[in-house]
Amino acid sequence: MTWAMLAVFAVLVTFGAPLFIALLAAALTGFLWIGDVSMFRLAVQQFFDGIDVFTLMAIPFFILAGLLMNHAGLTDRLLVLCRALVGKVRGGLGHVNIVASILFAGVNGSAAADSSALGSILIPAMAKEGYSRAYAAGLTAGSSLIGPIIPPSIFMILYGTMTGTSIGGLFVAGVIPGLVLGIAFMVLNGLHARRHAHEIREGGDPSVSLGAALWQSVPALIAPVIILGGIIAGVVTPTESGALAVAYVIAAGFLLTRTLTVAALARTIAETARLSSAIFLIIGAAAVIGWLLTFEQVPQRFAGFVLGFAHDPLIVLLILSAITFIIGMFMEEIAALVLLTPVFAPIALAAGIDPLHFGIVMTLNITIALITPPMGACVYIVSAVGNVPIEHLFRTIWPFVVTALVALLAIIALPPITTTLPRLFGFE
Amino acid sequence: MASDGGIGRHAAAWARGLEVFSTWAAGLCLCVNIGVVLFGIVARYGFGSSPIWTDELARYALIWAVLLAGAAALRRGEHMQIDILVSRLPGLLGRAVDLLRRLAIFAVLLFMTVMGTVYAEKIWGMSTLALNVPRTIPTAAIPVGMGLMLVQFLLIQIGGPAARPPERERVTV
Amino acid sequence: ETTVRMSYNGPPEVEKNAVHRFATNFQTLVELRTNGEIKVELYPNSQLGKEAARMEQVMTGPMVNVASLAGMQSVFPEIFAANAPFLFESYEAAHQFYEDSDFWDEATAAFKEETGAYLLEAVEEGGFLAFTNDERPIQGPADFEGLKFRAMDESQVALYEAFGASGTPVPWTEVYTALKTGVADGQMNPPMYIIIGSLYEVQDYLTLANIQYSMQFLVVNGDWLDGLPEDQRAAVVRAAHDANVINRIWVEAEVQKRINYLVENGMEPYTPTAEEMAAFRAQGQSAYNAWLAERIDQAWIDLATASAEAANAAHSAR
Ligand code: NA
Ligand code: NA
Repeated sequence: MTWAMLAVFAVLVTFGAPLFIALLAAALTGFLWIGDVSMFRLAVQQFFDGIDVFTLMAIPFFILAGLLMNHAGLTDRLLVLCRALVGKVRGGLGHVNIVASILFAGVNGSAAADSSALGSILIPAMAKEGYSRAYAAGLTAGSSLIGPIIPPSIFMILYGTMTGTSIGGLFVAGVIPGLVLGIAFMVLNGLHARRHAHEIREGGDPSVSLGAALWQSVPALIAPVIILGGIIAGVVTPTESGALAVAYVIAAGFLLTRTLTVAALARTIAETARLSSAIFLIIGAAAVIGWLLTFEQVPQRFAGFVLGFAHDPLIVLLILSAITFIIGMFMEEIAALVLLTPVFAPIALAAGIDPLHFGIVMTLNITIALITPPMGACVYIVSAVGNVPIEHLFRTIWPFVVTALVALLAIIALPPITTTLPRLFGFE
Repeated sequence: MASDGGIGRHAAAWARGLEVFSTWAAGLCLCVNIGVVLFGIVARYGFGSSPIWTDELARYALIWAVLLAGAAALRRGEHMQIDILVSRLPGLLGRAVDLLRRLAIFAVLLFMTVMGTVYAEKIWGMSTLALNVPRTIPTAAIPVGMGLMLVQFLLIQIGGPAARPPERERVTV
Repeated sequence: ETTVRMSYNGPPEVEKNAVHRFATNFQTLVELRTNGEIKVELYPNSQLGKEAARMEQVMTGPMVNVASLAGMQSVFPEIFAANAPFLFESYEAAHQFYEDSDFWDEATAAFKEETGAYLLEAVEEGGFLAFTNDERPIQGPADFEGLKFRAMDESQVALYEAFGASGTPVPWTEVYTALKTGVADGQMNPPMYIIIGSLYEVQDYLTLANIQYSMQFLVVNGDWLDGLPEDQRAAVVRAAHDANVINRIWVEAEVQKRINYLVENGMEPYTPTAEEMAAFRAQGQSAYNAWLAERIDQAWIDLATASAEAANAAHSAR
């Protein structure tokens, strides 16, 4: 049955059908295979239950907050701060790109929002200062991976929801790994700038002092404080912090920066509804598949198989990570995460891996899939906003993939990178 | 399949109209969703406790929002799909693949609409935990949303390229 | 040879999850007593869906389901009459109530009528619920004044408000943090959950007030059970009861060990006196029943109260 479902899914996806259609068609194949027509209704039941989850509501909230950051003029202010902070060193604008991703990550829950918002501004700017367009696009895609690792994160919300892991705990656990990823890209960028020292000019903005830059970016820096601070202090749940972030960015856009308009707000809400629709239809459809596989005891058998020859937590982590990486290359990331998590998380727990540690490894792994050819959403985005042919990017993206993988390996091998901070704040 | 006669123009206009309706209805539900969550926070800190139904109402508003928005996303081609391979296939093979793709979309949407209706009807007798209303009310979002997508899909088939919005920046996550 | 799928909540760990222990014993006894003619496949961790979804599944297909109160609520809210606070004085009274009482007879019949499925057993899960908080020792209702409690549902809110406290909804995964940061001062749960959630790290006082008897409900598809040969049918019903009896012995021994563990880890226990229990019962039960009377027929509430009184009397006489 599993193979029949997989075949239907693979054929329809390569034929260009929307993913949720391909997933549902695979599920219907599974129900037909079982041969009990009365079970067809379960497709609707499990689809509904798959999206009827309180914590999932944080997804539209963080999408909306991230999109509104641009309209409220807060993204621009963050960029001014980044230029003042790191623009003046060698390879400055590349570092600006990375630091902007780190700061932007504090509000934004997805890498795509990061690479399209920052890429449209920074890729042309970097090209003007002597970087090759392909490098600028690659660095934008690479550093956008910090978005879903530093909280908030749509992937962590999904993982936490499916496994019952505290989403607040995952958020806090992501902070240091996100910074590790940022540092890895800064090292890469520093080496690149040194090698191409002749072509690359400095990207600092001498007209703005650090103090002034810091001051004008305060409205943009408050949003991440609300999100992470609210969760750490236990004042709000992660879902509620998303709603608060939306309320704050709207208020800041209308009252502080005064660049937000009612028309832009309405357009952004509509955009958020459509984007959330695309995500939630996949979550619902994947939930139906998940139910069928469980019903046929596929994950249970797979777990037995893996644990049959691997007991060491490190080995199990490496095996599961390798599988996730390969599947992530060929599959849309949310679908991959929603399908793999229920199968992998019990194996990781049985092998004695810390749930927060595994959650971050899984999330980072799925995030890296966003920049791996042939199906990495962020590569397509930077190819579009940066005007770089996709085939060319597929060849030049690898140093960034490798850098991210090195960071992933460090995080796999050293659990304290992940677990220290959440334990400090009392997350289980 | 696409006709550029009167029917096609009408279909294209209806497709546009359906997108506007689907967007407004979904946007409204999303606003209810955010509003209720914010109200829950205010109630907890303002009055010491928040009513238990906020959680459920917020969830149901979001479910209606994402299903209603499906038709708008469909017209704009924003549902996640991978079309690099199909666009490269030559002549007859390309058309055969395209036909199969359309049939699959049609069949799945029809199935979810019909089965969703059957299901929503069947659970009229079960009530939700907090609001204590029939579970039909939240679950009806599935047949309604899938049904609207089915209508939108057919309108796009009849209306042809004119039923699609002009190419513009596509938003993805 | 037939196979039936059995779904339930919680992890497949016999030491931690009484429902899993029940399920494995049920599985063994069914297979043993039908000479392997009936196989039971286990689906722990709510693998086959949420409560309402699993209840629908057991109503429509050959399935066995262990439902919590939340699962029962969607099809048979009348069961809440049996969950009134401070209803039972002892385990024995609760056992009698859930196997040999007017309430149980009528409830199982009404459940079959409503759903077409058999309600076979009230599976004992974690003993009685206890109050915990980190403000002050709670000995009677008056000690609740002004405290904020984590509430799971509206009935718990009604209960806390009857004592002068307030109830606020917090999902289980956030309870530890909520108690640590003071979003809530206290909560109620059986000792097992206080241990699983490490709540003893953030709660100082434990009040063993027999608040509610914690149980889940074994539901079996009607057509499937009726379709079995008479001897196999009887074997399934008997296996369910025997597995529950085994469970009760284990749970009750375990509860005492768990309370000891909580005390060793710094919690200060308190068992209310008969007068204090009477005060709890008077205020808590009337608030709960008033809340419930808006949702179900008063006759069920009266029946549950009468059956519980009879069961309490039968066992306190000994
Ligand atoms: Na983020
Ligand atoms: Na990918």
